[in-house]
Amino acid sequence: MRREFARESFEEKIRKVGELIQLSARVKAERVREATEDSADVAYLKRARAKPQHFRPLDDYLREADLPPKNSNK
Amino acid sequence: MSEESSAIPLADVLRAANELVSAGLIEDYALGGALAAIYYVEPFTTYDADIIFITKDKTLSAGIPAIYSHLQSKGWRVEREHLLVKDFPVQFLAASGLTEEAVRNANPIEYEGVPAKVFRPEYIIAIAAGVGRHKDLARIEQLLKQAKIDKAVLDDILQRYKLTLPKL
Repeated sequence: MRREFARESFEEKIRKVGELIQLSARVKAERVREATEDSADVAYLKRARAKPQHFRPLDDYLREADLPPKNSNK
Repeated sequence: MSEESSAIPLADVLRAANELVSAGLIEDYALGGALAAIYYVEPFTTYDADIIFITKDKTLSAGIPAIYSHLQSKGWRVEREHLLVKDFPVQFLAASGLTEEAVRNANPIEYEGVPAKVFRPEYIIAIAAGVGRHKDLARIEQLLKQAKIDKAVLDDILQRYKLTLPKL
């Protein structure tokens, strides 16, 4: 199979290398985007954890947010 | 290279190198490096093109400033050690010794109608043996497996330049 690829025209091979470069650029860009999102999440968590933690019943939260109670099927 | 660039502008690169010869800025040139290897083996990723040229200007600068200004006048950009055509990096490297011999004995080719020259596989192997990075060793193995190699030519080059092939 590899020998078959080796026998392709130079133009075809260069076209494939171009595609490989594009693919690699897309993967790199995606990694950068994910890393940016991750660091934004980490920064949010850090800020959140720096504040004193306060817990309250879920039903209170749902009522304040004007959401149906937890056992409601509506 | 930006993501928008759809392909390697190799024809532009070779056309520009031919212009450098016509303009008398270089004596001769050939495509070397990874793209030269790809001429003989299956395609693999590479991020630049290497043009190895024989200088006309035998001073220390090897005429590189004139080459750069000629290409910049044609719209090429400079980014560190590369010249960029359509965002694709190209390195112009002055030949000497083994690489000069490789240019003089390069195979004539035509790429998208543009006449050019590409290093023979025996020279790519010898140069890779001299450099010896991991990717060079991989290139040697690939060429030995996939390209038609003239063993006599290769042995002669290796002997004259006191090079040895790695154990694969």
